[in-house]
Amino acid sequence: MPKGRKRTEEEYEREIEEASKRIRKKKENIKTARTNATWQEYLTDVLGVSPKALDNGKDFWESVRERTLEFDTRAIQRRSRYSELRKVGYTAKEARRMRDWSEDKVELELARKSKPK
Amino acid sequence: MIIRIGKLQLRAYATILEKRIGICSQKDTREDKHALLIDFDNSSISTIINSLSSLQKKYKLPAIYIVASSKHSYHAYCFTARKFMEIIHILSDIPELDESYFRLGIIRGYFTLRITSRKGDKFKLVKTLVSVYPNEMLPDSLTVNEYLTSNKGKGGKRHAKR
Repeated sequence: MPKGRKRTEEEYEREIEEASKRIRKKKENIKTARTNATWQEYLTDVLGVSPKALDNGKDFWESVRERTLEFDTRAIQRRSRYSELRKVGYTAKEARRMRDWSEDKVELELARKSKPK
Repeated sequence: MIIRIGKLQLRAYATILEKRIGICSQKDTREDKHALLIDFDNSSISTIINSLSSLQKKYKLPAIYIVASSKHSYHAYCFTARKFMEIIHILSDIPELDESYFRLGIIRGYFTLRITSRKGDKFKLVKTLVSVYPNEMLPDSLTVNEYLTSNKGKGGKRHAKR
């Protein structure tokens, strides 16, 4: 086809048909990729996948846990500390303020509170 | 080269063939199990990600790796082990799919993606769509095909318009 001219729809169809005939005639030789160095390199360098590792969906759950674990424990800690402080007799305002304190500081405060006056 | 003999005109072309390696969707050489290999035609990465995310949920697919193969051209790899007919069904649900890739894949009986880079282009992983579903085959179990071609890829003119 001359350079610069676009294929018409018919030409395009004919080319596909010719290619398909060629493919049908020629017995294509496909080999296992296990011994192919290019594919092994492609897997590790481009996709970042181990050729022999069967991924068990771990990636997804690991990323979920990574994002939620820290947040969840902190949230639980804050909630339980708040209810503890309320039980001891602190007001809601005081308990809200104290729930973010360090463990030692809370203990000191609790000891001070429980001391008989 | 053009030779004219009366009303007859003969044209001769010379092209340099390059050896390329393609990865085939077929698992091993005899089984009817295929990975989902996708070739995208002139689409933006955001459209591709949207399209593949919904496809992943719909067909319960494992992780999908999207790779930039050249400018405005992307490949996607998903290590499924589905029947060829199911692969065709999934591929036909992708509006951005390269049409000639799809048609030639059906004729061949497997789909092939080039893994050797063309001059100046480098493959680069763009996005991994993680999934709760595990891979259905080892990446090692696929097959490869070595071929000679003069195809230099899509012309610069087409991309320059964008």
